[in-house]
Amino acid sequence: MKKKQLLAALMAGLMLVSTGCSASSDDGGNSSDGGDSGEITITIPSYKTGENVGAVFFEPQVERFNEQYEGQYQIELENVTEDVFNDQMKQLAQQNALPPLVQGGDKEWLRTVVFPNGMAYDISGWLEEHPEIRELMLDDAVEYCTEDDGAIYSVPLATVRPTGFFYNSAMWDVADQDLSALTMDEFIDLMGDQKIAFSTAENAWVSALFLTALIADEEGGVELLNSGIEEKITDFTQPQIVSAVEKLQSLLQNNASANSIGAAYPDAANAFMSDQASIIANGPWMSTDFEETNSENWSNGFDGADVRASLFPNQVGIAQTQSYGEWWISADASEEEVECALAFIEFIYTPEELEAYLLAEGGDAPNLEYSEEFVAQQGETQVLADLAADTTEDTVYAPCILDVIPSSVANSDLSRLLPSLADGTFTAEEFCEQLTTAASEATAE
Amino acid sequence: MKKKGIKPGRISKNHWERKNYKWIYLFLLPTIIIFLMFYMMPILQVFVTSFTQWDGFNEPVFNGLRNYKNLFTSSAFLISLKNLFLWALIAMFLHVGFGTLIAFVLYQRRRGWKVTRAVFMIPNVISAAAWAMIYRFFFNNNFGILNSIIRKFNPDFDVQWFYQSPWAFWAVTLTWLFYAVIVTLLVFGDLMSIPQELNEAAIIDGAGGWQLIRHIQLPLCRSAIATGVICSLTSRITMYEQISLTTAGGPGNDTMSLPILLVNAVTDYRYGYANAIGVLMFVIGLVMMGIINKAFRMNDSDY
Amino acid sequence: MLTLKKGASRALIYFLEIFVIVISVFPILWVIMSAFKTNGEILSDPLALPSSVSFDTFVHLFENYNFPQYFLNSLLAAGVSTVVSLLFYAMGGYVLAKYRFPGRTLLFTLFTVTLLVPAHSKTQPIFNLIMELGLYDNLWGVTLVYLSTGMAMSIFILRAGFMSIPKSLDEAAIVDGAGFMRIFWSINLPLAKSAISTAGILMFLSNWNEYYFASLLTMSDSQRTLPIALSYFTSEFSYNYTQLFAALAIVVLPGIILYVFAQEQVQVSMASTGIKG
Repeated sequence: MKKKQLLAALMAGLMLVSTGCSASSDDGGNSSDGGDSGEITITIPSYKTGENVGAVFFEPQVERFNEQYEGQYQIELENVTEDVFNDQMKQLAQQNALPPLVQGGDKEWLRTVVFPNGMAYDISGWLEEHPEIRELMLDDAVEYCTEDDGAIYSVPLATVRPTGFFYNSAMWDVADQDLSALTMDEFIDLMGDQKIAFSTAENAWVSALFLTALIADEEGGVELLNSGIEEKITDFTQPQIVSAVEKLQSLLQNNASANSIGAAYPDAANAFMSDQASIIANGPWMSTDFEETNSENWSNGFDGADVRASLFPNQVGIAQTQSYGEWWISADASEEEVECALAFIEFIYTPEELEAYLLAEGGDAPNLEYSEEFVAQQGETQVLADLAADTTEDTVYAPCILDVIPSSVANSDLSRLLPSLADGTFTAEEFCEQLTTAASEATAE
Repeated sequence: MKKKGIKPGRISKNHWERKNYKWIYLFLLPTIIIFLMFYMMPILQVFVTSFTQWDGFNEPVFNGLRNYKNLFTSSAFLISLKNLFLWALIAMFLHVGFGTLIAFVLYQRRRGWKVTRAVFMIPNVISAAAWAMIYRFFFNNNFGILNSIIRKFNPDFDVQWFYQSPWAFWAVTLTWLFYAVIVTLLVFGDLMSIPQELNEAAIIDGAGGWQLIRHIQLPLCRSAIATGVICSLTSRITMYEQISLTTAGGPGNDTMSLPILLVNAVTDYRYGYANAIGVLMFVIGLVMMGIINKAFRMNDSDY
Repeated sequence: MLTLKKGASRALIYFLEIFVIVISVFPILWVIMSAFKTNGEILSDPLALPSSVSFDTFVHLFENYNFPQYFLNSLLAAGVSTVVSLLFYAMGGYVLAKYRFPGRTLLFTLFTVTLLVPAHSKTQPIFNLIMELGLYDNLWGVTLVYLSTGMAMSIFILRAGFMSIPKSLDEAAIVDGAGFMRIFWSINLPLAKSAISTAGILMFLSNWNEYYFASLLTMSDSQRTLPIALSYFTSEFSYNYTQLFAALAIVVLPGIILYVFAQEQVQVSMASTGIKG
C-alpha cells in the first residue's frame, strides 16, 4: 500500500515539475532574436561563470558589454562545467547545434576538425576592416591562426601572460636584485636552502614550470621546446632534457617543501601561503590570491604584501604565443548573430577592456600603448608591476613543457614517475628513459 | 543438508515454458530496448574501431591487429594484466570474504547491527575526488593517520605509501578492500530469507554455531556470494579513479591498470588503441564471469 | 569453556561492527568538518577540528545556487529512473533466472558486458539519441539515460535473487492454474524484495551522484541536478576546498538520508520472508 502511495506522489511531483520544465526549456535554446526592440540576443555557454576562477573578470565584462549596447546587442551566459565543456562543444558541433560564439574548445579538435571543415566563420575580412584591432594582436598568434588559404577562424590573442615565479620577500630577501637577469646557476646558488613549493600529482603543474625553465636555460633548450609546438617531443634522452632533469632532481631533493611528494596544485599553493615554501612557480593570475580579500587562505604568518614576482633566470617567460585564441564564431551563426558576436569581440579588444583584463589577470599586451592610468594602477599590484618590469623586448618566450609533449605523458606519466625521481629511485637518465618509453607507446601508430 | 526436491513437473514445466515464450520475450523486451538504445552502438563501435587507427573525429583507417600487437608488446600493459590478476584474487577472497563476514555479523542481530548496516553504504555516495583527498591524508608520510599510529611504536618509520615500491600496490588495495557493502547486502538478504525453522531444526539436531554456518547458512548464500564475487571482479576491471587520483599507476608501473591506459590513449586521441584495450576488458570480464559461473554452479537453482 | 568461546565471539562481533562504523562514518564526518575549516586548515592539518564554526560558506552557496531546484531535479531523475528500470530489470532478471529459452545465454552475456563499456564510447551515441528525441537540455533526457546505467549490476543481483526462490512454489502455482503474470507478480516479486531493494538502492545512489551525463546533456540552470553544483568547484586552478566540501555535504547528505529512510521501509516490509528451504 505504502509503495503505491509513494509512486503516486512521485508521479504527481513529476507532472508538476515537467510542466515547469517545458515552460522553461524554451529559453534554453542557443539563440533567439529579442522580439520587440530589435535587440539581438545570443546565448553562449561558458565555464567562466559561477565559482570558476575566470568568472571574476569575465562575468562583469559581459555585463559591461550588455550595458554599453543596451537595446542593440545582448549576451546571455549559460553556466557550463569546465570538465565537460570540450565534450559538449564536440557533440553540439556534430549536431550542427553550436552556439554562435564559442569560447575555446579542444585545440586539437579545432585544428583537425572544426577549422579544416568549414565549421567556423572566417573573420579575416572583418579583421581587414578593423586594422586597429589587427594591430593589437600578436604577430605570432595571427600567423598561427591564419590557415593556408588565408582564412582566420580563431580570434588571435592580443595579450601574452608570461609565467614566472613568485617569492616571499619576508623569507627570501632578494627584492633588490633583478632575478631574471641572473643565469640559472647563479639563481640556484643564490637560492641556497630556500624552499620551493613543488607538486607531483595531476600534471605536476608547478614542477613542470620549473622543469621548463631549466630546459630553457640549456643550450638550444628554447629551440627544443619550440620545436614541440609543431611536433610533440617524444625523445626525452636529449642532453638538454637530461641535464635539466638532473637539476630538477637536485631541487626536489634539497629545496622541495615538505609536502611536495604527492602534492596537487592546491597543496603547493598552500605550502607557499603558509610560509612552508618561499618560492612557487605560477602564472600571473595567482596575484589575486595575494590580495587582502583572500587573506582567509593565508596562515602561519604569511602576508600577501610580502610577495614579489619575477620571470625565470635568463629572462625566460613561459608562454606560448603561437596558439589559437579564446574565441571563434560558428559558421552556422545567422547574420545578426555574427554581427553581435563581432561586436563583442570588438568590445573585448578595445584598449580599455584589454587593460582591465591585464589588471585582473596579469599579463602583457605588447602592441598596446598603455594609458597612464593603467600603468599607475598596475603599479599598485606589486607582483604585476614586478612582472611588467621584467617583460621587455629581451624576454625569451618558451612554451610550457606540458604543451609540447604527448598529453598522456603530461597528464599521467609525469605524476607517475616524478615521485621516484624525487626519492632517488630513478636517476635523471632512468627517469628520461621511462618518459621516452611512455611517449613512444603513446605515439605508436 | 540440501533438499534435492523431486521434480515432478520437469517435463510439463518445459511444455509450460514453451507455451509462455511470448511472455518470456515480452518480459525481456524493455531490457532489450534499453540495450539497443544505449549499448548496441558503443559496443559495436568499440569492437570495430579496435582494428583501426582512429582519432575520434576523422574516418578510421583499418590497421589490422596493429593495436593489439602494440598492446602486447607494451610493458605497462603486461604489468596491468598482472595487477588485475592479483587484485582479482584479493577481491575474490579478502574483499568478498570480509563482506560475507560482516553479513554474518549483522545476522547475529547484536546491538548496533542496524546502524552498522545503514552506515556501511555511506562510502559509496562520496565522490571520488573527495575520496582521493581522504586517502592522501590517510597515507601521507608526514601527518597521515597511518604513519602517526605506526610511529607510536617505531619512531623512525618513514614510508611514502603511495609513492614507494612495493607499498603503493597495497595502499591502492586498501582504498577499496574493506568497502564491501554490496557483498554484505547481497549475502545478508539471502541469510534473512532462511526460515527460522530450518535453523532451529539444525540446532535441535545438535549443530553448533560453526556447523550451522558451515553446513546450512553458507551453502544457502552461494548465489549471493557468487554475485558478490562477480560484482567485485568487474569493479576491479574498471577501477580507475582510485588510481588516477592517487598514484597515476606509479611508482614505475606498480599500480598500472587497464582503465588508466585506456584513458591515456583517449587523451592522446588514439581511440583505436583505447578501444582495443576496451575489447580486452570485455574478454577478461567474460572469462572471469564464465569461471565464476562454473565454480559456483550458478546456473543451478538452490532447490 | 563454552562461555569463554561465546564471550570471544561476541567481542569479535562488536569489534567488527565498530570497525565498519568507523571506516564508513569517518569520511563523511571529515567532509562535513572540512566544510567549516579554511583552506589552510584543511591542507596543513587535515584532522584538526575547525577553529570556528561559521555557516557563511553554506549561506553563500544557497544564495548563489538554486539548490532546492537541483534537489528536486535530482530526486526526479534518480527516483523515476530507478523505479522504472527496477521494474524492467526485475522482469528481465526473472525470466533469465527461471526459464530456459533460445537466446538466454547470449542475452544474459550481452546485458552483463554493458558494465564494461568504456565511458568515452557511450558519449556520442547517447548525445545523438537525446538530440534526436528532442530531449537535449531537458531533465527527461537525463532520466532516460539513467534507465540504462544500472543494467548489468541490477540484472545480476535480481537474477540471483529470483534464482534463490524455490521453483516448487512456481510449480505449485502452475498446478493451481496460475498464469505467467500472476506467478511473477504475486509469488516471485514479493519474495525477491531483498534483491530488489539492494539493486534499487545501488541504482538510486549511483544516479543520484551521476554528473557527467547530467552536465553534458543539459545547459540551463532549471534542468540541472545536484552533483553538477559540485563540479563547479573542480576546475583546474580553483582551490577553494572549503566550498568544495560544503557543496559535497549539500549533495551527499540528502542522498544518505533518503537511503536510510528507504532502508527502514524495506526492512519493515521484509521482516517475515522465510522462504528458503
